[in-house]
Amino acid sequence: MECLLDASLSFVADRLAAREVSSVELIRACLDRIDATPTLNTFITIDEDGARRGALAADDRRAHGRALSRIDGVPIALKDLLMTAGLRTTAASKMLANYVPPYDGAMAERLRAQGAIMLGKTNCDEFAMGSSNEHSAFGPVRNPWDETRVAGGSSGGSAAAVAAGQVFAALGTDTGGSIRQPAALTGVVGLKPTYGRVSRFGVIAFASSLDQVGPFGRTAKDVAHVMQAIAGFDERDSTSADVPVPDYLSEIDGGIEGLKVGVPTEYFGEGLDPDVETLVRQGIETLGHAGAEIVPISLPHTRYALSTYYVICTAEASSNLARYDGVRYGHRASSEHELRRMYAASRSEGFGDEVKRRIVLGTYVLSSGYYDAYYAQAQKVRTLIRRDFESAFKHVDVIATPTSPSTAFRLGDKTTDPLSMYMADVCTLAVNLAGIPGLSTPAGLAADGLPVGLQLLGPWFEEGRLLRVAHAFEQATGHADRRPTIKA
Amino acid sequence: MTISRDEVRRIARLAHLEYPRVQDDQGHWSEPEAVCFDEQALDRLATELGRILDHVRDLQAVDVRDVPPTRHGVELPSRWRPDEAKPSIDRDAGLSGAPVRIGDAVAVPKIVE
Repeated sequence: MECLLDASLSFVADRLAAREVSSVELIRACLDRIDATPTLNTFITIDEDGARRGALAADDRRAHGRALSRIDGVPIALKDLLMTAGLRTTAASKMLANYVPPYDGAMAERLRAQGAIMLGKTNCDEFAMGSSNEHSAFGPVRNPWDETRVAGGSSGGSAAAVAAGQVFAALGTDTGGSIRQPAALTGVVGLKPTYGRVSRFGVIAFASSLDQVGPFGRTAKDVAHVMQAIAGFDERDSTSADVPVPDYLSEIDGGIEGLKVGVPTEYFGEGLDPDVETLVRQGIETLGHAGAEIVPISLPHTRYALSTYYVICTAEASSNLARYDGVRYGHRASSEHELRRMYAASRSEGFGDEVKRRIVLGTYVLSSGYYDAYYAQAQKVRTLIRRDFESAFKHVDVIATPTSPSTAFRLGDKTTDPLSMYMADVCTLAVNLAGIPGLSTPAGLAADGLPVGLQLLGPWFEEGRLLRVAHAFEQATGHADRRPTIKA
Repeated sequence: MTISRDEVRRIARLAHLEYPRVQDDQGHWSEPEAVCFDEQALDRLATELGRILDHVRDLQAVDVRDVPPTRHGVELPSRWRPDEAKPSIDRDAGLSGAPVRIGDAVAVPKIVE
């Protein structure tokens, strides 16, 4: 059973379908692995009883030929930003440390409908604000490849749990790279879908024009299985796109012969670790050998993505997080007996330093006298960034870049310098500003023994194309088969 | 760019992260710790914000004449859904997360003396 934990979700789904393994056995093996690797700190809440009950029901359905889907009975984890009825959902914040949602968000609802087993809620940066998973009220997540290193963020728990064989897939959210960057740093596949492709109903909001839910898996096929379960229109999310969802698995083996891959010069400049650059360029050459045409391109406004992103995301965060006032739910300061002091004390006690920093910055750029210079200007520059991608996709089918400028950095290396931490997302931010899909796939190990990610970007609603390229890349390189050594 | 301690304090108050200390009839100031950043934290925050604002100032140099704003990655038309009553969360469930509850209501500190 232990060896199954390093297998892909697709392989395990086949074993379940053939009834060579049961969901109950899988759950037990995953829980044992989680128990054996506590220092990774990947989970905030584990729903052991619920998972066992779900597994028994899944096995019963299989026994009677009534499996709900290919992922019926497969253990999956959810980032603790996704609402789960009756199961604590904290956003990794003291503010919501004891919050138990009265309803399922769309993700929990859709996974339940497919029979997937929600094993627990994964650690992340508080309210998804961070690039290293060190801004969690529940402590940092450690990287299974080297526990002195970060797992990336903000969905670091989901990425590390998949990399360490604790679950077969996980969901994260990606506002500026929070799925792709931790996927790169832990050597797994992570997909940020097109904005609007996956419902945000029941996702704790950080920056509403940028937030998007997506899957982590060990292979492109694993990610395709989960995407099939979660993608699609939801009338409860006013930004959900009513665009038909293709069969991702049926097109994944299509190969990349004749595909045009754009390589933007702006992503290979100053600040990129030479070791990362070497592996990413090798990866792009591999795509060429597999039949793709490699085309140099330019995305000239890339240099403004970091500034644009941090103005827009903090502005939206300051507005979204205004709801946490200690009145209807969440932490309430017990020391204050006057309403406005109670608001301030509850927020001051409940939020961590990074969240406060972003709320203050967001309030500043929205405040009278600064709105036009910062927020309105950033929204217009965002248009120029989006237009760069529109122009590029007239000439190429996908774009290939590094996912992260470096491999996983050491815990504590960037926590005292917020701007340096923000730079960790420099390769991923523009994708959220433009709303296009982006995927990170393992591109090999650097000289320090840590994973490097190749980022693939596609036009709006072309997730299937990215999965097809990533699958072809896996077949050509075998990079996705590499696993960290787990000291169980 | 320098951002002053007073400016940070003003913004923190706008964001309900801080509340001014108040003086009572006898001239005593309220305790500051729960609702005020201390001087050290204010200075640190001012320095950090200054550095970030220095960085984002590069946006000012971009020529955006005649460029419309982008508010979402995918611009979608506003949709209407049928105006039909549907089941919702019941009152008990809705109040289950309230820090302080009295009967069917959320209790808050009084706002009128």
